[in-house]
Amino acid sequence: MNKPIASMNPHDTPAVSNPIMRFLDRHAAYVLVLPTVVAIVLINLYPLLYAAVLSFQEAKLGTAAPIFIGLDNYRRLMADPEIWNAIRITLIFTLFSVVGSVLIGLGLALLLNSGFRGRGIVRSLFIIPWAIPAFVAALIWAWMFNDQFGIINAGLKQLGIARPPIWLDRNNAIWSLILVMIWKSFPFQLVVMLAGLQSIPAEMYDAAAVDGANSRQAFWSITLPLLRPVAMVSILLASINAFHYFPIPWILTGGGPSKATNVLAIEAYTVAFNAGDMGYGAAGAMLMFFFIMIGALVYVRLYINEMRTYEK
Amino acid sequence: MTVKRKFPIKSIFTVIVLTVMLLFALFPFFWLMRTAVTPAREAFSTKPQLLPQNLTLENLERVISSPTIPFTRQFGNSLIVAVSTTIFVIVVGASGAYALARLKFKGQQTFSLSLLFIQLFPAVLLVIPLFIVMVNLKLTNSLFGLILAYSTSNLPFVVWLLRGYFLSLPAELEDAARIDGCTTYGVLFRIILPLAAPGIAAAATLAFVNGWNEFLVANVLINDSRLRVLSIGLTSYIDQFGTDYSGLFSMAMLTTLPVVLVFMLFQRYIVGGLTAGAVKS
Repeated sequence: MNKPIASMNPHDTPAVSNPIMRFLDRHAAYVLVLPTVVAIVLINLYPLLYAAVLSFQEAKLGTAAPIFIGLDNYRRLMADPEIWNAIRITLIFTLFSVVGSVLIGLGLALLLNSGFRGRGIVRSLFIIPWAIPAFVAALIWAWMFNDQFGIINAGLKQLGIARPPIWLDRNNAIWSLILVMIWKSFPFQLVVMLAGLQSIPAEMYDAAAVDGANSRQAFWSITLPLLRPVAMVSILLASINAFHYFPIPWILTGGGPSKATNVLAIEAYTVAFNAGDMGYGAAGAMLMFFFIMIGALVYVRLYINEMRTYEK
Repeated sequence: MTVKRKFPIKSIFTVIVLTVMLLFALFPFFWLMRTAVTPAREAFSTKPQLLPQNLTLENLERVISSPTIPFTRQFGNSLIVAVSTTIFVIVVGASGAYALARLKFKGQQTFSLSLLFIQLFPAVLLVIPLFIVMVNLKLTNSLFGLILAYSTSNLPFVVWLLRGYFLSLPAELEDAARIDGCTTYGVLFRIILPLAAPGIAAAATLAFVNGWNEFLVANVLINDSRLRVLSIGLTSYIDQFGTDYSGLFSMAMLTTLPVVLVFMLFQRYIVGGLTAGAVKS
């Protein structure tokens, strides 16, 4: 026997006898979203606002109550050469690690998408760096880079290079750091790009082949344009992540030697925790936040424009 | 029919590139394991060999049975924290994501924007205020406090990923269930969640890995050595008076192995989940 149709409109509340259940069901959206909102407000939003307030205060660890000092921390930031140095280093770190990981991720995704035997195993091996805890990764790489006991230089000496580079010295440290960051972050790009490639319908390539397009033409006029929205999102996420990335620089170089790898996250952290100047550290973090916001807004703008041109 | 042309040059090129890149991706992991199973004297030679001359399990045994750094206890703590975080984040996140994907509520726009916005804030500086909040809630030195902190830091991305996944499911099934008298909760638990299993597997894997691997917050919130998780316990081998590298790398290997296994087991869900979820924004 068919059940009676309780309601023709699927979003009407169905007949439930218990009044409490009826109430809960009518307001289901709020009930369902409440735990997320509470958790986010308490553990994310409140600390965020707290940090914003802190940036307008002189607040030092272990001293009396914080004093409101307006924009003084921000004025000090603008005049602080360490900050400008940190911004420069952070931009280099972000740019090269993102470009490197995106190119490697995309290249490998294209190779893995072409289909060959054992591709599943190869793909799962490639994502191992993603799973390794960042601090463990930094410890291993520091150990491999070591100029006395490290395997990298031992290998280079075996190959006949008498004076291999000192990987973590003043000139090389930033590039070594970028290399480790690329290693840690390319698997994410690989997975996202592969997901993007697999969502491109095979019929498009068939149609192009029928029209006489070769594989290079198909790549430029089908693969890349269709991959673009996915790639833009993953590049944005990678840039945000790299811009305030902390654990690998902290353990691998600690910002040194002589501040050669002093990214903004480390600068803000050392000011806040080591120097105990919480207010100034918070202002540094707010500065990073503004940078990221500007980047994200420009990006969202571009993304929306792009979507519009597609629709036209 | 797909037209596939195979040139031998192209496949040789593919094999070479894949081999070189696999070496790059896997060597550090290999080197970690190699250091852990090599006797200390050999591991710390100025002429390290690619393959160890002698294999030993004594470093690993020493770490597991260490009286000062209780490995099994810390392993248990890590497991409790990562598993509880995963369950919590999936239950709360799936509810939130469903409300966002299919229902209407006041402040929906603000809510979804703030989910994105929160992720832009540098984690390093959230640690201080988070610590103050946790002190006020009396949740420092408690695994529950850690679970709460990890769950919330994973919530935004889990909600975002699952929302995308839910949107990719056909709405007709839900409508049919409602017509049959199902409540919203019934729809969510009986229809949506089973259908979204691959997306949930992806989100759960990532949440588990993040919970297992986190370092900064655990370092600030937990002081009691019996409540330490593996990531912090590990640092006990780094000491002002000299680092015990064999101990450090052996414990690092034991910390890394489970999470690598979980990741590899579930990696196809991650690919699938990201296809439908994060990518579709």
